[in-house]
Amino acid sequence: MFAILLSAGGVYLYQQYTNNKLDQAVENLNAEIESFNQADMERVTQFNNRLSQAQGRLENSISVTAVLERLQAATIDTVQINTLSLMREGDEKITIAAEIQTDSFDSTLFQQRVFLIKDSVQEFVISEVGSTVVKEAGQTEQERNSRPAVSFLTTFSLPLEAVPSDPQAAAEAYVSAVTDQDAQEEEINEDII
Amino acid sequence: MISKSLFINVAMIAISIGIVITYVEPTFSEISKLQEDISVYQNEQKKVSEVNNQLSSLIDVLTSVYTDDERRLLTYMPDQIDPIDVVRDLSLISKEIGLTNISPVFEGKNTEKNQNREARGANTVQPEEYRFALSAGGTYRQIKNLFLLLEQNDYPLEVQSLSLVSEEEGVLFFTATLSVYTYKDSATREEIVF
Repeated sequence: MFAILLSAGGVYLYQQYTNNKLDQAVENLNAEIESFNQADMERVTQFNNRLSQAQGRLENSISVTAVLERLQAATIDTVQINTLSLMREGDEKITIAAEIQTDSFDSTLFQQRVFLIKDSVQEFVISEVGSTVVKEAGQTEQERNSRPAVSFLTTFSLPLEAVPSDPQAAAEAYVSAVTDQDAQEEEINEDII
Repeated sequence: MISKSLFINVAMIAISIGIVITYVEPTFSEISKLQEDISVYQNEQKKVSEVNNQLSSLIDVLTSVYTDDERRLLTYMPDQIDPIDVVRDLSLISKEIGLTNISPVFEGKNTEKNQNREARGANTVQPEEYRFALSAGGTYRQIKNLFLLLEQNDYPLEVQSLSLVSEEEGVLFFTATLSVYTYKDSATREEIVF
């Protein structure tokens, strides 16, 4: 009986101790929650979101100059591009449509092959192939008729990764282009003098 | 006849059993439940503490970002744009190249594309997009130079479409649609629940 009373007392004391421990745990949790700074959290989240959005645009930025240069490199000498349109389709690809004029059907076939061997060119289609006359300023009607030509429309797409933007390279290319232009102008001026 | 001491012994055993059943055993169950609660609270406190430590280290990282870098980020992805500033920039860049018949126009905010991007399951909220149209005439070299300059701009001037037409000998006319972006706040105001 005495042992039971003693153990009951012990149980009572241990219960009190556990209760105190629980109260302490609750207090600690509340203190930890109170030390959380909502304003800091918003600041960090906002900075992170802004950085992610900027990174998203940066990763998907393209160089139109690179597209034009690729087209230039893939165009054979006997081909003339009359109109060119470029359409960006989201963050996936660029669709290019061009109205092209060549001097013969052989050139048309050769141009088609050149486009097709370019790795990044996708969904390549040639349409509306037909005979036409060369449209050049200052030509007489007789000259135009004596130079028959073949015209066609071509559409193809390029993935964005094929023409990524590189502002550093663009800056260097711009400086180089402007320097070349200045040199040419200087040469012309010297010739005139 | 039952002796007095036996009666007392039986009574004490009965009382003891009664104490065990009515007090000791339920108290033990209660203590066990309290200990489980303590463990839950301690775990939660640990989680909150981890979040606080992580936040504190992120704030350290944030404060270590150079002011110049932060300014560049704010220029690249600003909170808002002034369309007149962008139109003026486009006009100045085009003039610097030497293009003619320069016509920059603010077309407005594009909401459709952002929704499409978000619908495709992009992880982050997409920025707001504003569209501008730029048309001008010039040589092929000048037009290429224009795009080289646009590419180096402090904020993105993303080409969405471009149309090039040969106008006369050596002169081309182009029309381009450009996108400029601003930061779009996500659901940061949502309450954080532990």
